[in-house]
Amino acid sequence: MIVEAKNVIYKVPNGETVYEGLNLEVYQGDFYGVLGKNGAGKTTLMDLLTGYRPISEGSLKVLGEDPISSHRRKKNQIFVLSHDIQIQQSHKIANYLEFTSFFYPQYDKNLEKHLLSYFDLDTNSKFGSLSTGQKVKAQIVAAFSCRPKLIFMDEVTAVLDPESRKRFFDHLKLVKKEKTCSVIMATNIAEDLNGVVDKVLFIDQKKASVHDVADIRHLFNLEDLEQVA
Amino acid sequence: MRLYWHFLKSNLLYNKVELSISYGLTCLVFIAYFYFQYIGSKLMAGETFVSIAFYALLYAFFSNKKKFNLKYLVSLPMPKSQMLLVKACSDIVFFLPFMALAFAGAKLSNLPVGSFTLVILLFQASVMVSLYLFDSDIEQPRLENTRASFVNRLVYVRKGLDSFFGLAMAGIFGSIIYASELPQSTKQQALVVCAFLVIGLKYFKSLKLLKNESLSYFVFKRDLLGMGWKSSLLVAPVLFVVANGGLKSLTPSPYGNNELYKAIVSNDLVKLKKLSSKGEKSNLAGYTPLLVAAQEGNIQAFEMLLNQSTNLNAVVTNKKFSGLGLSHVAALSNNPSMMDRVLTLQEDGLDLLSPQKKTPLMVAAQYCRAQMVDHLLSKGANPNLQSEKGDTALILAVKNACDSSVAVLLENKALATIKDHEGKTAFDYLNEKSTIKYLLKRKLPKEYIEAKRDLASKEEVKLNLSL
Repeated sequence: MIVEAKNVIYKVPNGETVYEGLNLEVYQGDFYGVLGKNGAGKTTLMDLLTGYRPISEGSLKVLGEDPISSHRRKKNQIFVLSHDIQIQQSHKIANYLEFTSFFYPQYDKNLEKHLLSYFDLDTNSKFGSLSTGQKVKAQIVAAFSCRPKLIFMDEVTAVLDPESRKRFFDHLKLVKKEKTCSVIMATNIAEDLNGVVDKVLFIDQKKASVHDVADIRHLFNLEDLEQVA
Repeated sequence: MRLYWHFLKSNLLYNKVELSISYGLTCLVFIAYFYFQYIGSKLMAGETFVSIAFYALLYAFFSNKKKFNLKYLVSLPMPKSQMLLVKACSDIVFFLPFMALAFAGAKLSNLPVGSFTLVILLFQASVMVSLYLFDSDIEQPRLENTRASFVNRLVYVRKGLDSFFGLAMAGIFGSIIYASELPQSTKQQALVVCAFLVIGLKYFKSLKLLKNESLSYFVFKRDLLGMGWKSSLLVAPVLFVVANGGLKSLTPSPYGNNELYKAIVSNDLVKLKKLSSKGEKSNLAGYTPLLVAAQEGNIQAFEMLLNQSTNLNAVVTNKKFSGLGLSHVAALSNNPSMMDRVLTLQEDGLDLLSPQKKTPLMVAAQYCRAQMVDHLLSKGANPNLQSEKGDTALILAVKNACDSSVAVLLENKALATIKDHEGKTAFDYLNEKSTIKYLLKRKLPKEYIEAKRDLASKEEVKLNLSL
């Protein structure tokens, strides 16, 4: 099992409870979408899964290891792709990719080369001069080139232009076919998930429930809203 | 090791612009130093280097800030303990200009620290700053939109108190080591060891902070308690000092912590009688009790000790006043009655010579005891005797800027023309801005002043030509 969460409770220290009893099982090759209203706790879920925050109660295993543990052997099979990640402004894209590749023994240089041209990125551009979308694209190149077993994606598609978004999802579908990589993708654009993910994890009222992709419109009451319009 | 090299290499290769600026500016400072040396200007001294080093440290601090955010570092596949250490050590490339400038400044200012020790201490300072920088990233609450966000702002108060507490503790330990009687080399080694301990503590605190998210928040009960005991640890010594007579009580006694000496200094005759009858150990800090009483000018204590058949020929054996006898230390008391009493006991005391051939008059002049200088001269002390180095009482008074003593000596036939073994008169030791310049000048022959003026103008011409 890739991710296993049992009765996970997360309470912000000195603050409110974000999750009350989260259960989740992700197997190899599974693609999960994470949906929820603004402030529901999508990014917090990603933080818990990546070990940025510790859970308050329950059990959480990622690739069989506790995400918060200091000595994780399988962390080089996980890649975190987030709009929140800040790369040094003076780094060129080439520097960032070279720096990242050091940590992943299975890093695929040929794939990196292909993806750089696929996403139309100039390796000599510095992060300080890139737009938010270009920064995310550089991270996407790194994520796929690392050939990880698990990719966490936190709100990365919203900043991509339509062409890049299409290219991104096309490549994601190719990865999905290989069945070697699992993806957990938090997003606010529900339409993105159609044809890409197997299941949707819907977060609402401090609880998370697993649904089929077809249920998305129902989850957000989109049908009712369309009728009103 | 590969990981350390990877981070170090990345810092070097990917921050070329920032590093070029700081390394370039450092080179310019050194070029400026050598240029000013070449033209004979004293514009660049050790202190200038030290102040520039301070700005270099600030530059390193701010240019190194917010390189990567914590989320990125945590996402990388490496243990948190290693990540912290690797980052702190690899940041050394940003701090190298600071280290070079501070090293040059300390050496040029003749700071008594060995070169190797200085390099280690500066390296330790850089690692500390780097760890502190890292902490400032971690110590922010990782989620802002909580109901307790106002309380969480108190994290910064806690952080401020922690920094102040850390600095105070480091200052206290540093001062204890500095003020101790240990040899210089041992003191330096102790400082290095202490700094390593501080780095170790800081490292484990940062690691704890990284692993335990709750430490990024202000948890009322836990943190108030912590802040309370830290504040009391800081305030308690201050209150103690105030309650016990202020800072003066902290000043170490020149005679050590011996109770007998304390009784003499405070003129506590009852206690003195009790302690002397007990046979209290009486040769600490190089003084005998009688010498202490004489130096302090406490006649009653002096008389009491005299009755106990004390040796009148004893001399001080500590480093500062080595070899000074009874009449010399009585000269330090600035109490004419004390001196008169001593002179009744030591008939040759007036011009008694110490092993350095110093008379009581020279001692009084050297330590600015003008009243005693006046008294000794009235008793017939010779103002023109010379010490082992050729110093007269007048030269010693000028060297130590004791203006009143100089005036008294000049009034009492002290010769301004006597030269010491370096061939210099008292006039040569005068400060440029001295207010008693005229007093000495009028005692010197006109030819001497003119010769001095000629020499000065020739040197000025020589300097202008070389420019």
